[in-house]
Amino acid sequence: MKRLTAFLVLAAALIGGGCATVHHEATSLDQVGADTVLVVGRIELVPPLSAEEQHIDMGLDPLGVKNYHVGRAILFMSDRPLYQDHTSNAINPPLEQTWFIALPKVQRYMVRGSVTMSYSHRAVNRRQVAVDQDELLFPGLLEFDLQAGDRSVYIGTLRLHRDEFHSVTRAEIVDDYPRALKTYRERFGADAPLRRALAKPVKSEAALAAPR
Amino acid sequence: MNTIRMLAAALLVVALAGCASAPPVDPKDERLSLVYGHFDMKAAPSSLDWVSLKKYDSKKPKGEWYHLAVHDGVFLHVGIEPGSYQVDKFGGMGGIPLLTRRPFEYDFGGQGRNDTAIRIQTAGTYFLGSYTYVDHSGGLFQADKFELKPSATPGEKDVLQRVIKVMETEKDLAPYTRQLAMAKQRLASLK
Repeated sequence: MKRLTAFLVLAAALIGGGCATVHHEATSLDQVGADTVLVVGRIELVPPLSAEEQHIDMGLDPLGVKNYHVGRAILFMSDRPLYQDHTSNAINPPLEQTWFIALPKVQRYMVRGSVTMSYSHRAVNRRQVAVDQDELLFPGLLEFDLQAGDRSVYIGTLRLHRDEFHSVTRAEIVDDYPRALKTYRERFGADAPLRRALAKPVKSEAALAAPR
Repeated sequence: MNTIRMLAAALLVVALAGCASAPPVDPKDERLSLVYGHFDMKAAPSSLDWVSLKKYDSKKPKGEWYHLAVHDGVFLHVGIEPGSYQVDKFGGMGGIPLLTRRPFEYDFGGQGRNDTAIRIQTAGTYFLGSYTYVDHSGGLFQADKFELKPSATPGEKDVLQRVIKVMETEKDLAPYTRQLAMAKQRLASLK
């Protein structure tokens, strides 16, 4: 029983470091409920991420956690512009591809974004395991303009220029609506509407509350 | 048991430093640079015994690190190849002797560029800076955090004087006359 508990704790810890609910890609508009919206976007790294750059070693990985990291970003979403340890909604879009993810409309703020560059763990002693992790962190927070009547919203291409230290040196939101609309309609139907509402940078609550 | 723990800690340090199978630095290799800096660890719960410098443009599948020797807060390495580097981890021993003594490890990299980042394109001397360890207690229920604040003291001149002294007194560093000459030349330019 102790072993089972330990396994469950380890599995929970491995999934994004804190039991996040990951909203998966939608394949049909039927998957978009009244309280959700299909968010259409794209994330590009400049230069693009090559397979040799990511070193993800999860060890024993029965839950396939590695798949959340390889060639993908992890974006934590919240109903307020503040990242906290218990922020537990996430999306896991692939890089360099247009993605379609059904998201609760209240989760309009991207409060932490990252690409895992390396991950491994090693035993320090019989009781301690150390995690070595390198992340490319997205600069700042984003707000998605999700309206009550929306079914599908295009938020743009988030293009992140980076250096060799895995730091973002420049970020831009690029409007590539025609290409996204073409891909969207190929997947969801020729007359499916897609509202253009590019994501906007937003200051975090913590930054706004800080004394000037 | 204590011996096993100490051995495990020593192995950990060696593994972290990436020097388990590293060949000795060739004194004749003219591509190599002298890298140095200083950490003031007075406010830390441990000593500073090692500093790990990570190469960020490494082509090696598992990455590449250099283990920097530490002498009273000053860290240095005489054989850094051209590339992009920053301090990734550092550590030492802390706790109460015979009671809670254990190795401490501090993660300084992991989330992009930090203040120690350098790009080495030509052989020379490279000062990573002076930093002061600042402890941020997490209280009873959260892990402590730390920051390394850039510090004006000791300045490069002071650190370099100490580096030269180490190079002139450490027997293992005696063959690296080219690096010593570069250090003295740099020191002269700082006067």
